[in-house]
Formats: sequence, C-alpha cells, structure tokens
Amino acid sequence: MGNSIFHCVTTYNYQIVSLILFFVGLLGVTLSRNLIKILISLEFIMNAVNLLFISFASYKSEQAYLGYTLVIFSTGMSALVLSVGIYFAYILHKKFGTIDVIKIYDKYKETGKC
Amino acid sequence: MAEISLLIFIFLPVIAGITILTPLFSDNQIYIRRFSVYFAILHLLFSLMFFIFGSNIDMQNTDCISCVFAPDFKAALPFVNNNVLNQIGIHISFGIDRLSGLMMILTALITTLTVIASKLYVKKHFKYFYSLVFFLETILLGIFTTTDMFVFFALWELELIPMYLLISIWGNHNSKKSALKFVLYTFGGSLFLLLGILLIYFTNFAVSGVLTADITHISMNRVNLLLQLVISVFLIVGFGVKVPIFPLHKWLADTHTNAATPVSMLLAALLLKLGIYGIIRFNFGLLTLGFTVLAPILGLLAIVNVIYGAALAYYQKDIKRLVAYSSISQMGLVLLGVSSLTNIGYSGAVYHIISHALTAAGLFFIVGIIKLRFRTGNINRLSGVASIAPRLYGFSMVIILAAAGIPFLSGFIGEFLSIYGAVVSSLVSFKLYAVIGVFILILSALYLMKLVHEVFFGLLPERFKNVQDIAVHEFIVLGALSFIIILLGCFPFVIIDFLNV
Amino acid sequence: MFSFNNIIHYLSEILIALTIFLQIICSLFNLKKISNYLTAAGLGLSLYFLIAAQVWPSELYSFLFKIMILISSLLILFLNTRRVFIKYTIHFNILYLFSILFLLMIADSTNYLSLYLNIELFSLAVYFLFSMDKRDVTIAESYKYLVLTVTASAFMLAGAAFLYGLTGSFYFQRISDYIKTSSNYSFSTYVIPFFFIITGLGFKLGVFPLGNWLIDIYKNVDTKIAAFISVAPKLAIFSALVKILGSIITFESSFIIILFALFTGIYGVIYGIRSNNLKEIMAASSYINISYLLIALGLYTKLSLATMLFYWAVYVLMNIGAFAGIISLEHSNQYSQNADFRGYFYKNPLFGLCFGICIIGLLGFPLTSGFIAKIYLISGILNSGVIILPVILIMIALMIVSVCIYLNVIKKMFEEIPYKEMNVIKTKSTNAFVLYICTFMTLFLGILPAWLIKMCEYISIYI
Repeated sequence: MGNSIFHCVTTYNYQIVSLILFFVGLLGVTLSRNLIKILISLEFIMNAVNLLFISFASYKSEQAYLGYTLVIFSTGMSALVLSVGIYFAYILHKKFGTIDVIKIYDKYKETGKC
Repeated sequence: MAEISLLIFIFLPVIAGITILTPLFSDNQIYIRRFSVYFAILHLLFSLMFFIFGSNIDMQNTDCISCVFAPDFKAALPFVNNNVLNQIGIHISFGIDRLSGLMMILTALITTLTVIASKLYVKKHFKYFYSLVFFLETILLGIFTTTDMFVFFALWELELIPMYLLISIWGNHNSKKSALKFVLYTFGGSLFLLLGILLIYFTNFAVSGVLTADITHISMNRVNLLLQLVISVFLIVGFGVKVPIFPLHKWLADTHTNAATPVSMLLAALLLKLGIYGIIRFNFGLLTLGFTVLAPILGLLAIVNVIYGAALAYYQKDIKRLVAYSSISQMGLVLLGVSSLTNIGYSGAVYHIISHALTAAGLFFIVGIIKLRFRTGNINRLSGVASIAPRLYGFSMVIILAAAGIPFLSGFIGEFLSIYGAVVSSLVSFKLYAVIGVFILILSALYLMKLVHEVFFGLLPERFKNVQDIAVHEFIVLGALSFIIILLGCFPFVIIDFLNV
Repeated sequence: MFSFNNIIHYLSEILIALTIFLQIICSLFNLKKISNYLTAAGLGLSLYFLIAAQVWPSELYSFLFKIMILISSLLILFLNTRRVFIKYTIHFNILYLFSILFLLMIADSTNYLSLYLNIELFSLAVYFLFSMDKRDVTIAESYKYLVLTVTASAFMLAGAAFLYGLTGSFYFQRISDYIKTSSNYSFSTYVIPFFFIITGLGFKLGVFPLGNWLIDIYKNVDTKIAAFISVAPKLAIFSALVKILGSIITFESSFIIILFALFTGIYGVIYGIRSNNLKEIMAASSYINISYLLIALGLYTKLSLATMLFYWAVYVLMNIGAFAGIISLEHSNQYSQNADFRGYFYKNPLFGLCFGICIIGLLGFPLTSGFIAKIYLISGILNSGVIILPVILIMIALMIVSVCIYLNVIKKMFEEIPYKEMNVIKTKSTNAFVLYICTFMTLFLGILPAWLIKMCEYISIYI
C-alpha cells in the first residue's frame, strides 16, 4: 500500500465512479432503442452496484466478507437474469425481425393486440 | 317490547324488499304494486300506532329546554342495543326522541305516497324499483333513529347505493351522469363527515377517557373552541351537501331534472332532510359552542341560499328545474331557523322540514303529471292546464299556495316561525337576516305565482285538447297531501306542542 | 439464522419445494390432472403447516402476510385461463409454485442479501409466467419487466450498499441497533440510501417513479397471472418493508414514504379517470389502494400498522373477487382482453351482483368490508396527530375521484344493451366459486369485522 498513486485513490473516488457508472447505465436503459444495448446498460448498473459494495467492503475491514458475498451472489444472479433477457431479445428478434424497441412497438400496434 | 317493535319497524321494509326480489313475484307490475302499496300503508299505520302508544310514557317526564336545545335520545324510548362491535366502542343501537319520531312518520308517509305515485313513471324492472324503494326506506329510518355515530355514517353512505340505482336506471337518458354527480358530491361530503365523526370520537376519548361512539354518552362541552370549530366545519361541509347549503348545491337541479318523478319526490322530501337532521343532531346538539360561533355565518349562507334559489327558480324554463331550485330556497329558511339558536326558530325549522317535505313531494308529483300528460316541461309552451284538468288545478293550488307561504296552509307556519326565531335571536346579525327574510316571503311567492300563471292559466293550445285529468291513484296522493297540508296549517300546535312538551 | 432444529418453521416452504419436485416428476409422465390437484394440495398443506407452526410474537405480522399470500395464491389457482395455458398446465404449476416459494422467502427475509436474491428468483419465475402463451405482446412485456426489475433491484442494492457503508451490516436488526447506539445520528445521511431502497422496492408495488409497468402488465398478460401479480408480490414486499422501516423509521422517512404514496395515488387517479378498460381501472385501483396502504405504513404507529394489516386482508379478497368477475366475463367472450362489460348485470345477475359488491367494496361503501377498512384506515392515520390532516385531506380528494373511476364500472354494468348482444355469462364452476367466496368474505368482514380487527391490533403491538 505504499504506492503513491493508489494511496490517493480513496473509497470516496470509487463511490463517485460507481455512481457515474450507475447513472450512465440508467441513461442507457431509458434512452437506448436497441434491445441488446439496454441489456448492456443493465450490466453497467449492476457493475456499478458491485463496485460500490467492493469499495465499502475494503473500507469496512471487519465486515468485509458481507460485501464480497453479496458481490459474488449479485454477479451470478445478474448473469442468470441477463441470459434470460438475451433469450427474450432473441425471440423478439425472431418474431419481429428487428431489435429496435420503437419499431417493435409500432409493429405490434399494427398487427393488433393479442 | 317497545325496543323490539322499533327494530321490527325499521327492518320491516327490508323484508318487504327481499320478498319482492324473490321468485314469488314475477316481473308483473300489478301484483308487485298491489303488494307494495298495501305493505307501505300498513307500515304507515304501524308507525302511527307505534307513535301514539309508544310515546305516552315520556311525554310527562322531559323538560322542554333539554329537549329543544339538546335533542337527546335518553328522554325517549328505551334503546335497542346490540353489541356487535363492542370492543371498538361501536354499538348498533337505535332510539327515538321527538324529532326522530316525527321524521319516522314523515318517512313512512312519503314512501307510501311515492309507492302509490310511481304507477305511471316506472316502466321497467318493477321488481328492482319497488325493492330498492323499500331498502331506501329502511336506511332512512335507520339514519333518523340511530344513536351511534358510526352506524349513522354507515347508513349515510349506504343510502347512496339505492339512490344511485334509482336515479340512474329509471331516469331519462342523462340520468347516469347526474346520478354520478349526486354520488360524487355526497360521497365527498361524507368523507368530511367521517373526519368530523372520527375527531369527535377521538377528542371525546381524550377528554373523558371513554371510547364510545354513542351520541347520548358523548359530551363535547369541555373541548376547546378551536377544535370544536374545526369539527363543526367538517360536519357542516358533510351535511351541507345534502341540505344543500349554497356553494355545494350544484348536484341538485341536474339530479332532479333527470331522475324519474317518484325518485325526485323521495329525494326532495326525505333525502334533503337528512342534512338538516344531521346539523340539528351533531352541530346543534353536540358541538353547541362551535355552533354558536358559526351561527351568524350559517345564517348568512341560509339567506344567500334563499335568495339564490328563488332567483334561479324564477328564471328557469323547465318547470321541474323551477321546483328543484325552489327547494334550495326553502331549505335555506330551515337553516335560518336552526341557526337562529332560539326555541321558536328550532320549532319553526322542524315544522318547515315537514311542511317542505309535503309541498316538495306534491310539487314534484304535479310537475311529473304535467310532464307526462303534456309531454313537455317548458314553461313557455304550457298554458291553460286549469281548463282541461280542473281537479289537478285544485290540488295544485293548495300545494303551491302552501309552498308560497299563505296562511292557513302549512308553509306559512314554518316560514313565519323560522323568521320570528331570527327576530327574537340574541345575535344582532340575525335581526338583519330577519329583515331580509321578510322580503324573501315575497320572493318565494313570485316564482310560484309565475308557475301558476304560466302553466295553469291562459288559453289551452289546440294540441292539448285530448289530455286526461288526474286518475284515481294520483287523486289519492294529491288529496292526502292537500289534506295534511291544510290540517297542519290550521292546527300547527299539534306538532309545535309535541316538539316543546 | 438457519438451523435444523427449528425446521418446523420452514415446513411450509419445504412443502412447496417438495411439490415442485413432484410436479417435475409429473411432467415426465405428462400427468396433467394430478398436477392441478397436487398444486392445490401442496399449497393447502403448506398453509396448514404455516398456521400450525408456532411463531415469535414479533414475527406474527410476516406470518399474517405469508398466510395472505398463500390464501390469495390458492384462490387464484382456481381461476381459469386461456386454452394455451391448459396445454402447459404442469409448466404453469411449476413456475407458479416457484414464485410463491420465493415470495414466502421475501416475506421472511432478514437482510438485504436474501431480499435481493429472493426478489430476483421470484422475478425469474414471473418472466416465464408472463410469456407462457408465447404471444408477441407478452414476450415484449416480459422483456420490459425484466429490464425494470433489474433496474429496481440495482436501486435497492445501491441503497443497501450505502447503508452497509454507514453501518457495516446487511441485517435489518443490526442496522437498527447501530442507528440506535450511534451518538451522532442524523437522518440526512440516511436520506439517499432510504430513497434508493424505497424506489427499488416500490417498483414491485407499482409506486410512482418505476411503477408504470403495472398498467401494461394488467392489460396484456393473461388475467389470472395479472391477478396473481396484483396481490401476492405486493404482500411480500410489504412484509419486508415493515422490517426495513422498523430499522430506520424517523419523521423524515415517514415523510418520504408519504410523499411517494401521494404521488402514486395522484398518478393512479389521473390515469384511471380517463380509462374505459376494466384492466386499466384495476391498475388505477391498485395504485390508489397502495397509496393508502403506504401512508398507513409510513406513519408506523401501532394503530396505523394494524389498520394497514386489516386493509390488506380486505383488499386482497376484494381484488381477487373483482379479477374473478373479469375473468368470468372474458371466459364467455373468447378471452378478448378488452371484454365489453356493458350490461354485465343483465347478462348474469348473480355474477353481476357479486362483481358489483367487490367493486363497491373497493369503493368503500357500507355493508362491505371496504367500508370498515376505510373508516379504520382513516382513524388509524388520524390518530397519529393533527399534523397529518393535510395528508388526509389529499386522501379524501383521492377517494372522491376514485369514486368516479369505480362508478364508471357500475354505470356500464347497468347499461341496457340490445337483446341480440345479450349472451349469458357462463364460466367454469371453480371460477364462480372464487367469485362467491370473495364476495361472501367481503360481506362477512363488512358485517363482522371485529375478530380480524382484534387480531390485527394484537399483531401490531409486537411489531
């Protein structure tokens, strides 16, 4: 820990980075029109949260195991959920021939509900 | 025995209503009407018998001031107590004092007349109509007799369901919209009423330590003025929708115009009385201190009501709307009498409640007859009704003159006593209101005379030559109303003495 | 903490897991009929063991929530669905039981980790429940729900991370202890984590900022699943919220929750007033009722919690009853999602009456349990002081407008329709059974509510 560069990087900086990541992901989810890009943005959000946990865990040396446990679980869980998301995106692509959200919306408005 | 008979009296109409709904009756008007009319008349007789025999006991042992100033149930018949919700302080209990006794008879009478009158105005779903009328009667009797605030509130809201259905199903094509308006206004008001009732409940608990919702056990005398005022305002908003007090009256004219004639009769004669009954029971009886402070404002609102109602009534083209606005004006007088805080004013208000119930029912029925026979309600297109329907004309004159406040008819006594109450009131502002009120007597004569002049007098147009005069059932209704109006006008002390013994 | 000594407390969950296992065996041999009975039996047995198990008084409320989850899912199981689902009965049952299992775990969770995991696992089952009929719309809905769920979970986890950074724990109890013992406590440091957590958990309740999904899900997904989504997850989340709020409840946190609640209610009212579709009206009703419940929860006094519990019990039954009415209407209309409910009453007076009672109950009219719940709720809220009066006035405004929404339904129900359009509503007997039970309970609790009120007050003492 004697390194001069890493010495000035505190948990505070990690939090800032993770919050930036979080909101970048949130913007991606809300603004992106591509089904896959939305999923990537979700991954951004989850990683931001993970980073937050890791930074706090390094700060709380006694209860660090809690943060690391959660990170492992959440990584696994987000992988699981994302795979399901990709499956849905794939089916949507197969059905509509596009992965553009607005085009899909227009199409199923055209074809009539149900 | 007395308590069981009260319970039977209140719940008998429900049984009748359920009987009509059962497969015993097919959807055949004749049998259902026959059953309903006989039942209603028997119920009316029951109410009279109950009244004559039941109230002898307490006539002697109540002093007049407590009865007039603090309408209490204790002085009346023993309660019917049924501890269903005992642990949260809610009892389903009923009891009567003089005021609610009068209202009970009025309810039974008006329901009977309505059932007789609805022969030609109800053309579909006879089963549902008559059973709903009977359900409504029970609910109204419950409101007038219950001693528990929460039961009062429950019935107050419950009354909306039959009323909504009665207005919307049997009205004209616009009736669903106005029924919605009616429910919306009343429901909104009733939530304020709930707030007021809950505040009474909690403050009473805080002051006395007893968790009770029984009006007879609650005393708000020790509660400070500010809280009393807040509660009073909430309650007045709640009751004011039904009265209706000036800014909350919007629903009334539309609802009356679009509802069927018998429903209008019920609405004007009974439903409007609920509000004033609530004000007497809660604001006048429980929150006396707050009411004393609010009385000048209420008196002002009452005067506004009277003038506003009369002015609008005068400019209406539709005769049913005219009558509807007239009842806003008349209820203003009742409110003036109550808020004058005098013995005489109170008697006058109660007297005018009864008088207005009779005249409003009569007026709406007359308007209904005219609208049915002549197929128009436009005041400009109608004329000369008197020449083709002399019997209708005769009865109409009695009822219209009574509404206008001509001596020897019931309306005069009520108006006179209400204004006299304002004159003798200790509050200075009421003297002013009384002066205005005297002129109002002329106003109410004005629009009613317009009605008589435009509709009944004049030349009969050619297209109305084949119109029939009133039939037997209409004769019975109008005759009974006129008879009672003349009786009350000639012997007013029957009721005034009864109220003030 | 888990230990095998008190396995009896987890018996209901274990039974459901066992039923899932048996279902999988059933699916091997394609035993459709047995599968349905097995599901009902499994849920019933787990309900029995839940009631039979002894619980700590402080756990009684989550116990009540779990009972409500199981009862509502049992009732919803009897509702019938479109034909496609009958083909996949066993798959449906497996996913259904899977989601219920994790709902029960959400209701029981004691820390943010298990809360997060259970929410995600529950949602995993729900994605496939939504899109089981493989229509274009439902797959799109599933995708949308997935994206929103992950976002909401991330919000919750971010809040949990901040709390972890502040207090060093995930456990609600330990966070509460830390806050109580720390000397320089100020809520301002907890505002952001609290805000994040409420946003995240509010998603499942349909609370304003992320609650938009509710309407689309109600409209597009099969009605049986919509009925399930409308009740069960919200119950579980509320159970978790009671714990979470218990750990960091202050005046400010109450204020935040009430703010969320009022926004939700206003959004629901604005949405519902111009909608003409039964599903949209149900969604609006969900928003409005959740807002009342959140206000009662946010105040966190003994009486307001008791009223919240009572309101939930009542709302669950009325809501399922209304959904049963809608499903029976759709069933006789070839499952058109926008079923025409004009003249419902004349098409089948008994169903119309029952459905009407449920709607009137949601409205809060007397003789139904909704009336008692309304009075009780307002009294519970009012009891926490005159300072709350403005909130109550807004609530009253919401109630007045919501009357407009519900009466629209009643108005349409009594609308006269031409004779040739008059097809009598017929449905499966199980569906009618659910409708009758819900109506009966609505009326029963409207007339004799005292026992349940007493129970709720007893439970709320120990929260």
